[in-house]
Amino acid sequence: MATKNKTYQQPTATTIEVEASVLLSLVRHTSEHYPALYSGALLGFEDEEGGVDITHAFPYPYPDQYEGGSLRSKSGSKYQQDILDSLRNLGYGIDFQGWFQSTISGNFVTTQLVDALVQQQLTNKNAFVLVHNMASIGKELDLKALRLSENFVNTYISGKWRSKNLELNRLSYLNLFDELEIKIHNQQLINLYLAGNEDTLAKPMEKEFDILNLSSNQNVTAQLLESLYSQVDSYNYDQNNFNYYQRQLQKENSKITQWKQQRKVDNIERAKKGESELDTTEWETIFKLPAEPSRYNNMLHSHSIDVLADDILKKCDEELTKSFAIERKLVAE
Amino acid sequence: MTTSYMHLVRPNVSAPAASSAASSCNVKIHTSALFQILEILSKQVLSNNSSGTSSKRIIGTLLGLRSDDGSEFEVRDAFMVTCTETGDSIAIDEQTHKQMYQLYKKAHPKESVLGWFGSSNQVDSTTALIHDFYSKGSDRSFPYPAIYLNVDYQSEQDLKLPELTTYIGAAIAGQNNGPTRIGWKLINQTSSYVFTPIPNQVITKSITEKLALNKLNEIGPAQNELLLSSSDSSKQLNHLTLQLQAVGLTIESLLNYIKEHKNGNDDDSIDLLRLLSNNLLNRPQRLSNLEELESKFKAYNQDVIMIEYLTKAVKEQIELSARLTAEADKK
Repeated sequence: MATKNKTYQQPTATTIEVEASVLLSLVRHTSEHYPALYSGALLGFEDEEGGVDITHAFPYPYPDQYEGGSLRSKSGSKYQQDILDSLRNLGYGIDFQGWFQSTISGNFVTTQLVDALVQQQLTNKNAFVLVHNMASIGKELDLKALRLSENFVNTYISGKWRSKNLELNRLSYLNLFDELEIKIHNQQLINLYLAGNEDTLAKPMEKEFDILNLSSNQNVTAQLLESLYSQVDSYNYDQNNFNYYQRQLQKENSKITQWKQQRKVDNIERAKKGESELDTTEWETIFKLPAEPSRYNNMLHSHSIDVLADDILKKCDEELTKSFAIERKLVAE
Repeated sequence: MTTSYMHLVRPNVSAPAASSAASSCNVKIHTSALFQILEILSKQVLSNNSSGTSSKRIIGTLLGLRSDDGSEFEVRDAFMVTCTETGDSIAIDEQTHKQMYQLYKKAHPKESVLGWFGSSNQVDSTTALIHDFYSKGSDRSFPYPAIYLNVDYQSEQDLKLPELTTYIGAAIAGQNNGPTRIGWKLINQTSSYVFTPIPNQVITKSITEKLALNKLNEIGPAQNELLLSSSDSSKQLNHLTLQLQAVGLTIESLLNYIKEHKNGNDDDSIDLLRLLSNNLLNRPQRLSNLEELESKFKAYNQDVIMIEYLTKAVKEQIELSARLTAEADKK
């Protein structure tokens, strides 16, 4: 891999500052195109304290077939460069900082997305991806800024994905990503506008209570469960390979133990006869242990399943809260 | 804002595809586009100038959708275009405008240039010059009439609440691209425009966007920043809790209102009562069979719990598998 000479650099930005308009137009673009998936570039600058400020978001022209599909595509990066050039012409001192990606729950953990992100992180230590989870679209806003963890990047650089390497880098599917805080940064006039909106119109913003409807959209849970099945299937496929390897390893190991015992017995007999002992380490040349398959996919699937499961549990908890509340009321009547 | 508008008959000489003269126009501005404009203004003017006022003209292009008859505008996005003013003339960076528009068009094929925005406190001759730029030529709003959104945020010395005014401009002098007629002396090559104010409203389209906006509002403008995502443990059901509290508050204030207006006999109170009784007493027939309903609820709850149980099992399995693999390797 071409990453041999690169090392992990501690990122300086632990929070991401996003302009209000970026937040709104991003959310609008992704939710308007739901259920199609979209991604795009986030442009901004690094401030003096090393934080990242995002001032512009531009979606890529075409929808993604799967998460992370466009992040490193040629047309995508060309488009991104063109946008950047024209914005620089306008006098904005901005640069490419990260991506946004719309997704359904844990599906965003694809090899494409992770590959793109890790490559970007190796070039720019503050790179990140803003994931818009549309599992509860229309009910709740779910945005996460994610960056691959130090443990992951180190393992990636080494290029070895055996369980031993994972153990060495203390990497598990639970610490694949680091979550960053997102802060909203309002320009003066927007604050003025927001403040003015409250005072002059005396009209509180309309609330959206769709989340309170009892299973107002059952499809979502079904969809999440389907995603979970397919992830579990992929996981199982990978796990079968791994189990096969483990069985082979066990078989070989027992053969070796047998051989060692045999050799010991032989040696004792030879010693009785007064002959010289045979080499006890000869087994290393006779037996060959099977190579361990990569645990990379296993880890991605595991993480995806974990996020999906969390989302489903959350959905169920919400459902139960609402359902029990209504039921109590009914019984009381 | 309750400003009334008079829908005037507009002459539309230079805009052949303009709406039939008498129809009214309406501009809808997406909050995100408005925020973009405000951000551009804040950054360009306020950051360079501590007093908060500036005479520098900031303009930009409005992008969005237009209804077929050209009477409804939906401003969905905006970007800045540099312009330099020297005396009576103005130079607009056409290249940037073109480039940005074409790039934008790639990702939003249905949208087109609607017009432009500026931030001056009056309509003057330069306004007409800029409007002329946006009304003619390819990659601009031609053949439809361009709209002009003015964001006035400067009072005498200070900032004020941004006031939005939208105009639609129509040329009143003939176009000058034909052969020059003998006997006419053309002083300037641009047309003159009539700017007719048209109503505008700020809208938020998708629910998710509204939620995001509510979040911005919740924190209030006093703090300049807000935390969107907090740690995982506290986030669980946080939103639901907040929403439930909000409903509780609404009900409480309604009850208070009713208490206060106990003896009210005016139309408003009666309307309110009618609305409440209509909403509370009307319910589907099916809901009256309590027992059946209860059993259905129980079944539903059990289903949900089952899903939860199984999902949890999957989650634990994955974790178990990961731990076992790690342990097996240590040996």
